[in-house]
Amino acid sequence: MATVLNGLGVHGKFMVIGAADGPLEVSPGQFITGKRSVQGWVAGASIDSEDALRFSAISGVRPMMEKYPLARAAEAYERMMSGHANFRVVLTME
Amino acid sequence: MRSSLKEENTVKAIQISKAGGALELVERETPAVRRDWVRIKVQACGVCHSDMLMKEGYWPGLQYPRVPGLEVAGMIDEVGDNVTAWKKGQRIGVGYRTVPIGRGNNAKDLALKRGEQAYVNSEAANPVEELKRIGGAKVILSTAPAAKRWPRS
Repeated sequence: MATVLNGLGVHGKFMVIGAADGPLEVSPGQFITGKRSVQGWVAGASIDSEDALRFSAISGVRPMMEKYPLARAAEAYERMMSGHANFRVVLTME
Repeated sequence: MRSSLKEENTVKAIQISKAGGALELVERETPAVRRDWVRIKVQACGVCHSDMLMKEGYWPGLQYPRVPGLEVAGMIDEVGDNVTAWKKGQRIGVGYRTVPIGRGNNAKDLALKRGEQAYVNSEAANPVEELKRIGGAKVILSTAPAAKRWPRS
């Protein structure tokens, strides 16, 4: 993550949304000159999700998923845990 | 296709019978809607790494058997008598805990202003999820899930 901090523009904000292990190393100089910042965000707030859904509807953005029927939940779970899933693993009720 | 779960006595669900147990497909009794809750007919549910905490029993105080599922999308199937914010047939989503953790009431007040809701998911049922009515400060301290409205599209 430290590498991409240099890609921030002036007033750029680096959003931490993934709970990766280990410390995030930054140097003060990376922030001072461009008034950049680092901020964490927890996903799942209703208002955030509503905003995201509204944006998706307006802009035509659609999710990419790896779908599994409910009966194959154990397999879906293993897929998610494997770290090899390319997209969100989603159970469907069909 | 039946329009309401009312007529069905049981629903299919994925259940974990003990900490570290397997995900098993079972039939469970259809939960009755309570006064302040809505009942959701689940259409899809994301599988999140956080589900691992429930499956392996890493949250304190978990009781089994329980039904995992933290990313629910579905349709309101029934609303409780006290529920005014939601209607039967509305599309609805249920997510994870949502309020920033901080000291004092500032974090909660700020979250409320933004329309965020707090909850610890006690038992997200799949494909039937019970959901406490949202809105108002009472919910922020309860164990009620949060909900999102779907945009018209």
